[in-house]
Amino acid sequence: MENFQFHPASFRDSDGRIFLIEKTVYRGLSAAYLPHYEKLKQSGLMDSLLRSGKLIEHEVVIPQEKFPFPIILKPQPIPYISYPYEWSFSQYKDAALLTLSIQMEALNKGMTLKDASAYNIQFLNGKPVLIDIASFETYVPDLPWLAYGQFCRHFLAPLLLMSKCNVESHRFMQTFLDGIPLPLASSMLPFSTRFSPFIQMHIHLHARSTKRYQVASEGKKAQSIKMPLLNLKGMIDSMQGFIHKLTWKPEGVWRDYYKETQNNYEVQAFQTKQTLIARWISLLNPASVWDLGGNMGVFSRLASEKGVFTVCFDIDPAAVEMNYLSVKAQKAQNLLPLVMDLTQPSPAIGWANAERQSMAERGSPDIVMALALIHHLSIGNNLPLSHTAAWFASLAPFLIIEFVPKIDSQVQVLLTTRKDIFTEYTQPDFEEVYSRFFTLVEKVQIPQSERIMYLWKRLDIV
Amino acid sequence: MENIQYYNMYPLLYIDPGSGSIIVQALIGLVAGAGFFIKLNWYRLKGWFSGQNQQKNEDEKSEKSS
Repeated sequence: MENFQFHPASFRDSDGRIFLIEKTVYRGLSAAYLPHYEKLKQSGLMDSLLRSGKLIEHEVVIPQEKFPFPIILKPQPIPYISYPYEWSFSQYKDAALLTLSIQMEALNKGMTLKDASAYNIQFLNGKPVLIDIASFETYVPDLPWLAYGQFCRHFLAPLLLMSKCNVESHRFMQTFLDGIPLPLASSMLPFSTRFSPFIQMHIHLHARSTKRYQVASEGKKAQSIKMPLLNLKGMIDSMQGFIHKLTWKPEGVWRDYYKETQNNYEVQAFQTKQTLIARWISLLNPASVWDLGGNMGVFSRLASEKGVFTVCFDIDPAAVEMNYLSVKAQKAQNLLPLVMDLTQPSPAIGWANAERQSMAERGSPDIVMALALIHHLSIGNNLPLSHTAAWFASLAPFLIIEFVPKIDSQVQVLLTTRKDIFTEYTQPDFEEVYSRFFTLVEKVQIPQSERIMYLWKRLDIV
Repeated sequence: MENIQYYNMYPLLYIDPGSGSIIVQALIGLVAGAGFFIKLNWYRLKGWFSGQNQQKNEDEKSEKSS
């Protein structure tokens, strides 16, 4: 069993565990799970979910004696695993709706979802997909949905908080690994939500009920409760309807983006930058690109439209939302927009800090792009140039970076309300510091602007 | 005395379904189930009601004419 290792996040459910051999991901199904797996196939549910792209494709691998599973599946690889605290509002909403629609389809075919974890949903080619095939169980007549509480903590509470309080509330998911506790969600939602029968029942009453029946002896009483299939389907249907109508409209911010784009980038300068990046990407022919601070993904698309898998990270939930909506509308492939604060990228969390991986651990891009970003890090966050250079070098062998000098209007905005202590933030300093980590491949001045584009190659790359 | 056998109805999962969550969803299900029944049978119910109304109207007309 050389190089066989269980994925550090796959320990909760013994029915289907993820393991890795080299870098290939497999899912082993336990003997106890086999009747459910057979039902999944025979009921036609699996075929139907695969056809509609709701369930991840996988091939059945011939099991070997050395692995402790009667059935081993090799799922289609996910190029970058993302977590709910990195999704924009509509990504989150689509993930929730996918879970509910799968549950409804499962109920129609005599099965049910035994868990409703947001971590079971991933984004592949612009669409959410369920990655856990071991989530299905045979439906027991009159049994309530045992994953309902988890669905509310993982999906409903975060979505309501994002929609009614603050769109950055998804960050709570980073702290509460099994979803936002309902008493917390209930205390944070505006008072007006108590007049919504749906929110009152699913969150406020649910939160009180959770507290009341915490004691196991009290809980036993609940186990005699039956819920007819019609009622269960009715509940799923009403949740689908409610979440479908849930909105978050960052109108003000969106308008500002258009304005900013028009003000800052003269048409020729913008085109030069685009042509240059497209040329560099063609030259390097990467397998994957990370666009850091990529805003709405204009430059990410130069890579993704060439078939290069690209993750576009941005701190602004509005920009990521716009990016995702346009990925969805254009059915764009290979582009994954995610919310990320680069001054504190998603850490490794969970048990032994290994259950959910950090932003950097989850991929190894060939190119990192940092366009109109360096001034935010260096001046906005006081990061010395050596810190940013070292981090970029740790991420990828090639770096496309735009240096934004102090005289640039955007840098001046950052400096209006603070003392200019950034004596080392100059173009010669930038080149000197970055040369300690990279070799310069090419450098181009953007016309009608003070900005300079650099293509760097890490020192260890021949 | 409580029926112990009842407790075996639920398959035990690797996650705790939470008794509070079960009680609340059973309540929600009562309302949602009724709503869902109406939604599924809307046209049939509408037809049934309008059929009844038509019958009623016809009865009223015939009463007036007589």
